[in-house]
Amino acid sequence: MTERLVALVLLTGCVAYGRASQDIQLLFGAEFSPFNARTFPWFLAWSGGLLSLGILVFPGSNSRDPAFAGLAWKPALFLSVLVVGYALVIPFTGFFVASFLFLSAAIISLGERRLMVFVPVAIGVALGLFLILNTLLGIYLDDPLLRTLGVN
Amino acid sequence: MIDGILIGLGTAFTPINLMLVMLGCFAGTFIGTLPGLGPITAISLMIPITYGLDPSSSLILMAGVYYGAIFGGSTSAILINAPGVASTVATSFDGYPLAQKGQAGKALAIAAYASFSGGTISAILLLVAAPSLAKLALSFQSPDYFALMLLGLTAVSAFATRGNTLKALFMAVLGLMLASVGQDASTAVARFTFGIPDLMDGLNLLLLAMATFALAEGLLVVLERRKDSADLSGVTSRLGSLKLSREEVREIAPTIGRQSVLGFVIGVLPGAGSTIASFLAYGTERNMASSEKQKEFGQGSIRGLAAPEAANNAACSGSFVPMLTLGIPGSGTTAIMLGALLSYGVSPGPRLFIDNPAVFWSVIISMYIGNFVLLILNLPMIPYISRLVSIPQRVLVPLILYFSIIGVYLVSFSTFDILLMIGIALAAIILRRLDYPMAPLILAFVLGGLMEENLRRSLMLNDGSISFLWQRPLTLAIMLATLAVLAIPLVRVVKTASGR
Repeated sequence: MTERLVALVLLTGCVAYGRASQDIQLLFGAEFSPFNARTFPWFLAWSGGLLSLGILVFPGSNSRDPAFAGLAWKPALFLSVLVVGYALVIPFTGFFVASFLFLSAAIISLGERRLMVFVPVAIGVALGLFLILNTLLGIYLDDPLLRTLGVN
Repeated sequence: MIDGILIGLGTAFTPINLMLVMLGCFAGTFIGTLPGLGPITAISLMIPITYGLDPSSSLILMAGVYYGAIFGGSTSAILINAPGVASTVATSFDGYPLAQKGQAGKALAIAAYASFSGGTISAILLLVAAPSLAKLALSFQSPDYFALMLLGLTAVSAFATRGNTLKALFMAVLGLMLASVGQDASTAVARFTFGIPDLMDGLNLLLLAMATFALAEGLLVVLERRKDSADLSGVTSRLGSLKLSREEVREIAPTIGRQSVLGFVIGVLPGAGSTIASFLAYGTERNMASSEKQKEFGQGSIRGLAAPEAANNAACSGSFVPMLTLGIPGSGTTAIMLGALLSYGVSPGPRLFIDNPAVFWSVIISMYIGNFVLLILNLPMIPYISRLVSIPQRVLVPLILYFSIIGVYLVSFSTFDILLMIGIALAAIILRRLDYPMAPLILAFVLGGLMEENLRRSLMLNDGSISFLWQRPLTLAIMLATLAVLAIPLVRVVKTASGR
């Protein structure tokens, strides 16, 4: 059932891709050319559509049946939210604070509550990487906190 | 050729490149030893480091990581029966029983010697085959390239997962679709950008590789509640002797020789790769053995261990042949390397060894150095590497996630890329759980631009007719090979469905 549902989603995606390919703007006269910016995507939409239709009819074998039972969704989704949070926070806090917060929260969420483990790991990795990138490789990273502390 | 070898030696033997080979082998072994993490993840995680290096050094580092990851995968296959990558599954058939008999040290040594010999023999074959093929490839035209890319994608899809060819083919098409996002290369018209400026340059290969492999793998470890590999340190404390007797050496030497050649040939074929090479080597070796020796296979046969190890390492070198000479990668791993090279402004292909001889030859020479490094440095360091592997998942997973996202962020400094990455990673997790392979997606993504360009040229020259697919004998031969590769698994799909 899940196999067919996903195949249906993929088929819908291919139809949408094919539809969007016809909205690609063409240069003057390009529609009369044997090959233009729409040709390859149009061919791909058809290929993808036929293949997803094939999967819908012949779903094939799955090594995990059922595919989504008994999985630890909560911690995995929490980590995904942390990644999103990292992306949203980094422009405001800078590299070091965002990295420290991400690593600490991720390690704690997976069950490591010892301060003497997650704090040194988070600080060590964030600071170490910052110094390698900034000092050794010359990649500028904006970090208000470390700048104030005179690290860079 | 002598000039080329000298250029390669000069480049590969610089202190920085020697250090990079060692670093690559060590990092690759470490990551490869972690169950579930293979060469693609290892190389993806290394790409951000390579941006500060010149193309030769970058490729040298990535080649070292590739070898190291394969070797690392063998280590976990032998010690805890948990192959890090599919190509080391066959290694566990006899490696793990040997370890259970208290001969883990011997098993690791056989794996190291077989890998070293396989790598060495194939490096020599590569030295001969690559320039010859590159010269031949200079006569290739657009239709031939298009057909060859079609063959590569079809072969990777056909061999990716047994019984799921349709899914693999769909992933290849999806990779091509993702490659079409951004400005059209020939007309600069925006395609599928939906008015988002971040998509104008298209998707980044590193982003896609990190999202589908490193980030997705890290999340899958949590999702599937995979256990820590902490028991590995216990196994390594009782490794036993690393020495082999003269009889044992005599027994495995011919095996290593023939399976190295077989592995190299399989590796050169687009899509086949080290997994098929290792299983084929194991199978042929068992069939060649006497009935008495055949009984030992699966119980701790040293020939059964040496055969897949020699073959998978030789196949790794073999897979560089189509990438370096034709600019067409034969596997997901070499696809990422090709993508990285393209981003440095180097175009692999038949002109690579004329335009960039330092890149071409130094990679070949560094493969040989990499094999030495693995044998001399990595083998004695296995107990220490195993201890590193014992880092608990609750610390290791956040680090993998962190290095994945920071690797992508450092390239573009765009938070949009991180958000896109997590979206792709979640989609990849769903697809991976349903046995949709990721390697065809990556390969197709890398080849997408080149494929469209060659199709465009071919169609323009033929007034829109697809007769270019059979006009030249070479194109026709490649297309027939593609149809043959496609037909076998599709017939199987229909047969299975009608048998239900």
